[in-house]
Amino acid sequence: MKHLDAYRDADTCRRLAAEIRALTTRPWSIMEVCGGQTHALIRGGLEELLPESIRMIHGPGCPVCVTPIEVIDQAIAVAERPEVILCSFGDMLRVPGSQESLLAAKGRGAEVRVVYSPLDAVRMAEAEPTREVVFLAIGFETTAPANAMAVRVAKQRGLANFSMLVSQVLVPPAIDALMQDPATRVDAFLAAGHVASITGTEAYPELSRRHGVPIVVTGFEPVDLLAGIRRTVELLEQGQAICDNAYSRVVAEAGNLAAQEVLREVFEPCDRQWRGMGVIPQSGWQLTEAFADHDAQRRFPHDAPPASEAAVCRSGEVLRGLLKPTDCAAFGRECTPETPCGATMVSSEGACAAYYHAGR
Amino acid sequence: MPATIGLVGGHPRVACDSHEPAMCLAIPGRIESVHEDRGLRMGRVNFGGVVKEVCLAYVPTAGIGDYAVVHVGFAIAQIDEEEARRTLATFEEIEQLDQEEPQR
Ligand code: SF4
Repeated sequence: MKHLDAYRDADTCRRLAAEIRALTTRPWSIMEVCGGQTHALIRGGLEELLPESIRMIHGPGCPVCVTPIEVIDQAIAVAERPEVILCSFGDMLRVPGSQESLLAAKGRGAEVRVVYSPLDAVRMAEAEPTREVVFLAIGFETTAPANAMAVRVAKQRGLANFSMLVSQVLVPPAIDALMQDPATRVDAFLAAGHVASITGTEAYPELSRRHGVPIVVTGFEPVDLLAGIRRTVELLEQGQAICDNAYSRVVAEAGNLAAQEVLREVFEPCDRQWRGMGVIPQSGWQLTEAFADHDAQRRFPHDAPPASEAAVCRSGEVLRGLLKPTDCAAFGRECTPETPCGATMVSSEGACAAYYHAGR
Repeated sequence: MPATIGLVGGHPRVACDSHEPAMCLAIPGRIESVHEDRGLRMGRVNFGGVVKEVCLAYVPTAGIGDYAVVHVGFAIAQIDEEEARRTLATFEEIEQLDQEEPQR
């Protein structure tokens, strides 16, 4: 497909960057909410193409980074039960809990397995009927349909030994919480295109209006990111606080209706704790009553004592865009991807790890 | 060797510090075949040469030859190729405007 490469074309990137420079008359701070976009911006060297007066602020949209310590502690406690196989996406394994990571628990003998897709965990429950397979279901709206389908299929197939430890989070309430924080200095948002491909763009116009910020739904290829930034700068310069879609080849205004139907069946909104940001009202999803039998929270209750971040770690400020990773005293010293002090150094979508790998 | 899991910025993107792809990544691929597994719509999707089995339940109208964005083993959106071309065409207009302006 020719147009796939065209969205990675260096000349088009330079042209878009030149247009951004021509449009920009004053300094603007733009937050890309999604960690995948942070990674692509830094890895692709796109920030260097932008004029100095455009500051990209890296947001909290890394599911691995915002999963609360208590959930990691609970996952470890569940994994330590002899009958349990705990399945997780690979990049959760090194995230530090209050005492240790899942990887360390695995080293001590807990059965922790990495899966690429939540359906792999369902297949595992089928293949090992004498074991309890618990899937650590984290993610934003992008991952929610996959997690929802896994538990739905398990229920349909009568797999009583499959359950999910759910820590799903939602983007619009996080944007809202950030904008209510007086410390936040953000003029506009790039909204994550893949989140919007599921939910549609419905939530954003109201957020734009209420907080007076343009929100532009943006894709992930270099050309997509620069096109999203260009449209954002255009709206900022015109003083228009509206929502626009710069990723129309993937994002339909109404979103993915088939996915929304399954999401409504499986999940319901709930308050959620975000690592580094505290509790945000109605910012997550939990399993509905119909899936109670597959809810690991209920099946394996665990009273995790509230835990706090390693004292040196300032990932709370990094996640809210208040601190550049390189301004953290631990960055690259005691905190590296091999010995992460905080979650933002673990996932390649985390701002700290993205900076580290880019050699900043 | 770490697994190459997709292309970002034109470079093979390699999971940074584990052998697992970062979970948050969603990448485009071409649907090569479609089948059913106990009522679940599945298919094989080609990502620049690497073929994976993917759940197609959320792209009910996408068929062989169509492109979809895939995330953790699920196609989450079909790529509208007509729209992709239209968007690219608007960038070409920028190019023409550029050429009318004196170069930096
Ligand atoms: S560099 Fe490490 S210690 Fe500092 S904020 Fe990032 S994760 Fe936390």
